[in-house]
Amino acid sequence: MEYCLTVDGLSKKYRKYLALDGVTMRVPQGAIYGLVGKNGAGKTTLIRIICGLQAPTIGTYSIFGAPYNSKEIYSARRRMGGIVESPALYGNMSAKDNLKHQFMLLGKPSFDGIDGLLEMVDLKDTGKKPVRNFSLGMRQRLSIAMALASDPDFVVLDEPINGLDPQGIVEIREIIIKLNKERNITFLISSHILDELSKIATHYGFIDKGKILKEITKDQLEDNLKKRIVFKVDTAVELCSALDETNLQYKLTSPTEGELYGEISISALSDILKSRGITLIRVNEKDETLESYYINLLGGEVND
Amino acid sequence: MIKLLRANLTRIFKSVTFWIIFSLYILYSVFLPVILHSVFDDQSLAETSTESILALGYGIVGFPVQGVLIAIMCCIIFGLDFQNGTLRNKIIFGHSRSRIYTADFLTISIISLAMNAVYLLAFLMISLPLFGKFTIPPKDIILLIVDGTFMLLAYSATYTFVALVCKNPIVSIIISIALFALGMILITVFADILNEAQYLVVVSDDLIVPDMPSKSLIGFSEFMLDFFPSGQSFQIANNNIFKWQMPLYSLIVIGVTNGAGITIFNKVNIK
Repeated sequence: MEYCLTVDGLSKKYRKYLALDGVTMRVPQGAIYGLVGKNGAGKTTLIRIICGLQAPTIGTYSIFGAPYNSKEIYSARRRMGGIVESPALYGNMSAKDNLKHQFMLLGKPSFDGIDGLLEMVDLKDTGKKPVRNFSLGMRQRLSIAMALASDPDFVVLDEPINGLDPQGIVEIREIIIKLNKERNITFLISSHILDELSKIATHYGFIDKGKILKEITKDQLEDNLKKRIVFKVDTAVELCSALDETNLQYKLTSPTEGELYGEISISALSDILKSRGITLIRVNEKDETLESYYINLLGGEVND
Repeated sequence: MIKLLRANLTRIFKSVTFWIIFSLYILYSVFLPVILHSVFDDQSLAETSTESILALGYGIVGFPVQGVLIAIMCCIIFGLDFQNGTLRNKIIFGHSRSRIYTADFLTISIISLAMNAVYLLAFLMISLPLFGKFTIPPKDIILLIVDGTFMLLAYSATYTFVALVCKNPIVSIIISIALFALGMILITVFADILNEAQYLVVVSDDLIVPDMPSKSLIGFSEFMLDFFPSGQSFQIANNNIFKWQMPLYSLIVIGVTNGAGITIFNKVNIK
């Protein structure tokens, strides 16, 4: 598998404060990677380092195989686009002029494509209106257009839906999905809004107190989030045969304990087990969300 | 580099603040000789050389007008890059910090050379007809312009350093004001020493003057006025002193400030 971004043992210290502590992660090409963490977890610090705005204290990272401290990193960065924290725009210039400025920085021979970008983010009718008069949502959308100006293969978005209204959130989501599917652009999106990330991410990295707690694919996460019944029985004899009768997926965590994935009434399960001479000692139903998964990962409890 | 320069200059030309500052300088260039000519009496006019009017393009009574304008432009143009976060775009898209710094220095240098050109053009069209021909040989006129031009580039390097290392436009402005104050103190202290030395030589009949500044102090004072841009502004505009060493000193200032600036800028954490 090829990776857009590989991070190995990355740490960042500001005087005495350790913002990142041995972060290791991989962003596969073609993925929409959701970097999940609460405020102050280290998401923005990590993104600043990846985007070249700050240097790591220890550790290394590479983009498209180019180590961060090599000369090749500059060519690799030209295949990237990014928004870090807040939109970076010239307030006295219009949307089109901001994009023209970006095209000049990229050395593009003409301004072809600007109208297409503005149309994609629904800003083509803004005319000469200076960006300082835009709403936050409009500025976010323009920032995304700026990030896409270089026809990147890898886009880093730091909290792209912060401050957006519901319609704005939907629009951003649709742009990301479309670009990922049609142009195979890899996205690294940091957010603490789990519900929104769960609609688009194909991979997740959970970060807390500067450390990556877990990396997981969407499929693996869905397996973990399935409605499941956790049970304990008195004997392992004929347990598997009994569970096969339920026609549900299951996993044994010990000879007499396990999890059934799917929906089945407790009484039906009890009857099936009883018919094989197995007594149900304990049973729990669990219906996990990404939020509860994340909170459990942090070691907290979910309040129902 | 060309991409960065082109982008910088295009952006600056869209800035209202830039055009206000540049227009003020055009007015200074055009109206200063006209006002001086109108307020001077016949004797003052007779005593005013045309080259002294040309020298005013590099400072007035030792006050570095162009230096102030360059500092303001650096603080606003580059300070805004930090404040808006637009500096991030340049780095994210693969421009090295050394190139960004160099492009910013070249941008402000181009603007200061344009200011210089405006003053020279106004001088040719207005001051020469009003004040008459030069009284110094052509090589000294060329030396004056070369000294002044390199002085402006040294100011550009200095205030690019301040703006890009301070990161914050308010802090840049404070430090720029402090640098100007330091410059004026430098001029006052060392010019006083030189004036005193000249006065004592003139009034004293003795070969040995007890309060005479030592030769080394006189030499040091001359060096300090010739080396730093604010001192050069004083030397050129007030004393009409043009020396071939001054462009070399300016090149040293440019080299040292740019070298130090790029080194520091490469290590700065950008938010």
